Amino acid sequence: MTISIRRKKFNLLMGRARGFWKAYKQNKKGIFGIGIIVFFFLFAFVGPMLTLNDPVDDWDVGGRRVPPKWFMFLPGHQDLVPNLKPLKTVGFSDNNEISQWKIELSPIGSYSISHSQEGSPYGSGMGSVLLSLNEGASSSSWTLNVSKTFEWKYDAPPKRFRSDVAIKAEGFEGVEAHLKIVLSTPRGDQYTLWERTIKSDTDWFQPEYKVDSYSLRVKMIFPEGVFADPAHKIFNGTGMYKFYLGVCLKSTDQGSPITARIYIDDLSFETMGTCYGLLGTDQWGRDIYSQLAHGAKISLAVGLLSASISVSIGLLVGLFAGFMGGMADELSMRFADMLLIIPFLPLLMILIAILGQSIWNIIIVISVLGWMGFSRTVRSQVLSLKERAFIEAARASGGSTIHIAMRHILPNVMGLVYVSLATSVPAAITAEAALSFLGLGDPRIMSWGQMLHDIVYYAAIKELYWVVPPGLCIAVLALSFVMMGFSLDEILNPRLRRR
Amino acid sequence: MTDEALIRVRNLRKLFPVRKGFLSSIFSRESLHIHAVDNVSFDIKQDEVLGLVGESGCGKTTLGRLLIRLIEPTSGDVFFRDINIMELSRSEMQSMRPKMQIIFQDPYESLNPRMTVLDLVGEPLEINALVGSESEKEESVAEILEHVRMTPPGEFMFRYPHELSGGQRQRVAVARALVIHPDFVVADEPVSMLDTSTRGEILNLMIELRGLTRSYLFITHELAVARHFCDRIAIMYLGRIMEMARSDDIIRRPIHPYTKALIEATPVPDPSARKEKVSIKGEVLSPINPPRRCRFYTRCLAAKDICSKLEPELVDIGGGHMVACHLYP
Repeated sequence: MTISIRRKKFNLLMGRARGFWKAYKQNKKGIFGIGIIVFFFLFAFVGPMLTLNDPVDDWDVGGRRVPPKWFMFLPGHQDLVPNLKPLKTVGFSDNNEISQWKIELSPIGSYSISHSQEGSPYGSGMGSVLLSLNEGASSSSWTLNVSKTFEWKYDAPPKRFRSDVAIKAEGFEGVEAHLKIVLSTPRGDQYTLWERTIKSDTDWFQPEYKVDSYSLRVKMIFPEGVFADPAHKIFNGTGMYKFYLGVCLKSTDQGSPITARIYIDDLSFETMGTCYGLLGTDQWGRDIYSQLAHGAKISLAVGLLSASISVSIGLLVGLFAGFMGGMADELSMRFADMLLIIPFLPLLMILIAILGQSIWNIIIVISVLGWMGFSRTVRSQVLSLKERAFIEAARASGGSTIHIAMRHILPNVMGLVYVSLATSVPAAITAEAALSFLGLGDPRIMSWGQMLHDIVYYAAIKELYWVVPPGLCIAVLALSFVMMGFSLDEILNPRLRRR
Repeated sequence: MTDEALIRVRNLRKLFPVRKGFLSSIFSRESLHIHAVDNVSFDIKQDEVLGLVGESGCGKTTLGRLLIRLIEPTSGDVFFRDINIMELSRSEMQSMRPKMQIIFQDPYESLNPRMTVLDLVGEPLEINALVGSESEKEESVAEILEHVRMTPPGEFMFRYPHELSGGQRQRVAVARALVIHPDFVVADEPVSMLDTSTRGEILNLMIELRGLTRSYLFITHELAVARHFCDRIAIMYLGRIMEMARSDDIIRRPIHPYTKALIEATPVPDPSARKEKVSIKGEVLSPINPPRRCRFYTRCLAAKDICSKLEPELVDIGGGHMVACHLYP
């Protein structure tokens, strides 16, 4: 008997769920809303996995403020250049990495090249390449080039290029070395981006300025000086370009044995194009797509958490006020009124300014300021439910206040809870976006509002590939929750049901 | 039926304050009250059905609710056996509840629309911990559902109130009240919301189920229904009991002018029957702060001088027939 009854109960529950879904399916708004919400959930979970870029910390993944890659196919954007990385990996951790480079020596045989386990403290790799001068070399000067030749097949120049190196010198007695980083073009021009002479032993060091086309020292190579764009100057045609680190060793003290050793690590060169990724980059060359994907997570989390907290508070206060009545009712409702009459956004801003700009503070403040309306609705519903005969019947059967609240009042206000949840989520999402837009968001977290803030702050309002995604996402996500709320309201509130 | 009283009501009063506007509450200190139940005393014996008859607004329902302390009285006592339930604390009262139940007037209102029949009928069992497990609850519910002729119970157990007819709902309400075998049940116009055919069924059902409980207070505004069902009948008018006697006595030999008027007003399903002279005048008085005189004075055709000066007491005129009228001392 019990098993069949349990099955009947289960069937009853399933029947109710199926009936609800059947009614919900009829509602076009509801289907549209839930479809979009499901899409954003998938986006929030899968989207961040599709990119390796961190939305906040990974700067200069491409050129700064460049449009997306697919812009190349739009009319008028054919000259866009993608990122070019001639080297697959940076560092000299193993022989594979060393073999990417072409190492030329002269005179031949005077050097030995080996892989050293010692790595520079700056880069990631553990090893470096060690060049040691053979004992008793007869010549008085030696040259060494570590070079990489790559093809530039675009008509337009890149947005930017940059390179780096780390060097350590040992056994420098009676010898001096001239080091330089050079970029040579197919036309035969040589651009020395950095050079330095060392005369004694040194620990690991890097160029004293960034060897970067944005660097002032690099710009000063050209007659235009500050106004020069080295990337534009150097990459002005297709063909084979060569990047190399040149080392010139000279003996200054004839006769004494020379034992100079030079360690080289982290030698790199890359160009950043004028387009990047799915949605381009922001003012610091960060991936906009990764910001959007991570922002979806943030917006959904803020929306759902704040809405659940505020609806829970509203439900508790409403039940309490409606059920207890009298002084408890007066006090809690006057408190709610007091919060209601204070303008929402200014209060939010002040509280965040006082508490500090963290995402948890934002969630807490939004939920603490968002329960009042719902608590009034619940209270009024409870007041009318309280007078219904079935409540009196439960009391006559000996039901305690708690029992009546849980078994009779709560199930009858649950419909309101679902509707209110669905309609408070967009309110929370837009409140968070508004706060972040005004610069009061969590600076360590890239939300859609933060993206809009950056857009306005860096005057990028015309850059549609940057403006449209976060704006559209906020609007569509909020709208879909509102639509779901409205359709729930229509289904759960029979007076609104259209026949 | 034994003579031992199960319920003793003594000087029960319930005044409802009348809400006034803000200004008038400042300028007038006079407080207005609706005297819903005014100084009522009576007994209900073991295994007895007492009918409470009166017109709309006379305080019948209030009296019924006072008896099981669903609302608090202004003054007065109700004894259940020897316990004064008005002096019980909240928790003591809750443990008394299963002994006293109520069947409400409107079966469309008195059943929670979000609960199944099983949960509705099983609720009193659960609250009072009368069943140990879910399956015990289901057995008890199935048993009582058979008693109220909702067979097979398995078919009805998982229905919601909106899937039931009015008569079926009232059966559920009856089952709910009787499932814990209370000693005393207040039936507050249990059939007035039903149509005539269902009404008879429910009344017969309640008569059959008299074995499941001891005593009833049966509230109705129809004398015919009361006579059908009750051992004794009390006639109520504006918060006071005017006459109380065995059912047959009160129908055959009504003494109070109001009782007479009530009986005359009962429609006779015979078009040729000659309508007798109406023995009542005027309208019902307002129950707000009524003057200290016979409540029926303004409508009574036989009113004397003393009726306007003194409120008559309910006195036994012999054979358990009690009446509150200056004409019958």
